[in-house]
Amino acid sequence: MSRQHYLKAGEVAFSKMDKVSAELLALTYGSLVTQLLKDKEEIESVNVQLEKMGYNIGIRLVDEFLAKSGIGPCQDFRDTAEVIAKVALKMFLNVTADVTGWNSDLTACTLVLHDNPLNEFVELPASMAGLKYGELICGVIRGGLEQVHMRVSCTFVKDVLKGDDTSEIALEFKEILKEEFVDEDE
Amino acid sequence: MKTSILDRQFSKSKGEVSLSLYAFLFSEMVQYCLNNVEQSQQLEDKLHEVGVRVGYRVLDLLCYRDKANRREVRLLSMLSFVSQTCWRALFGHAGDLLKGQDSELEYMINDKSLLLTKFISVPRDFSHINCGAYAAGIVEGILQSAEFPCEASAHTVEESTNPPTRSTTVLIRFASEVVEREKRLQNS
Repeated sequence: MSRQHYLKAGEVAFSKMDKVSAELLALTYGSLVTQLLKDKEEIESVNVQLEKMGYNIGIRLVDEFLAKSGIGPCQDFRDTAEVIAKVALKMFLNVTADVTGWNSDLTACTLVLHDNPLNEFVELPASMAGLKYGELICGVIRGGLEQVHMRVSCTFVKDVLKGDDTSEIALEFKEILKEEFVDEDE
Repeated sequence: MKTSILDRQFSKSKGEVSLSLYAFLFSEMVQYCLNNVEQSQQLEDKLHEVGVRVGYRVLDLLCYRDKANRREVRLLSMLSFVSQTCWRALFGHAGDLLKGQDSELEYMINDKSLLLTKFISVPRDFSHINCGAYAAGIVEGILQSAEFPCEASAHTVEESTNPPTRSTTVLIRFASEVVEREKRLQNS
């Protein structure tokens, strides 16, 4: 399906959602990250915790996505990436992204975020260079895709908070997860 | 030269995101706080702590942007700023401001449908916990940073409606100096 079609679907899906102020989200998230930085000694473990929280959100969020977005099964991973960029991000976070930089096998790409509500009011001091502030979003994507049997890796590679021109998430397809049925009699 | 965040304009548009995402994030935050305290009672303290930091920023943000850089100095106008302006900016509707019955130091903000607790069902053995502690933290942060020293805590109120519903009340207890100052200002 076309990009335009997905953009439209994203708009429609977002318009049907109950809303909350983006500033409340930004402030809450900022204070949560501050709390994690206070509780944990290493910045890397804050990144891990943020990703984990995102993952927990993603595995639940995907149900609502499938129920309300009106999007059918994706044809291939390229299709999946477009749906995330144009529909899923729009529906929940009210932003869209461009999908670029495909590798030749069509298993890895880059999502270029047009905006990020989590970054509102945020300034990272130089000592926080190792912090992946928006890592929660990557966790949500990983968790959501895992529920539809796709294992992916997902992480921020560029971030406007660190002085880059754009915020970019690297998304890479790993494998299709097989559902394993164990017969208890055996 | 790199432009700092302080050089940028406040965005005027009221951005919105989905309530689902916020509710999930809040639930993760509650879960995290619960895992990081020794006793469940401390969960409220932890949420409160996270909220206070938000309160400091809310005061700055709303005074600069919505009040043309004016900050209330009188007790009642400050309280109505919190229950009206701040509540609306954060939670989408105003809270009800009530005066405490027993003490002139106490005020309450009641919210019948606090969006923070909309999707939270409290298990029976946690019945003393109200995740509105986060909102109480925000209120305390706003008032503290506006030089109204106080303590704020959240409480669940059983409403005698049919069917019975629950609402959240944030109880604000000011330091006595705040009320003394208010009396001085009234007389001058």
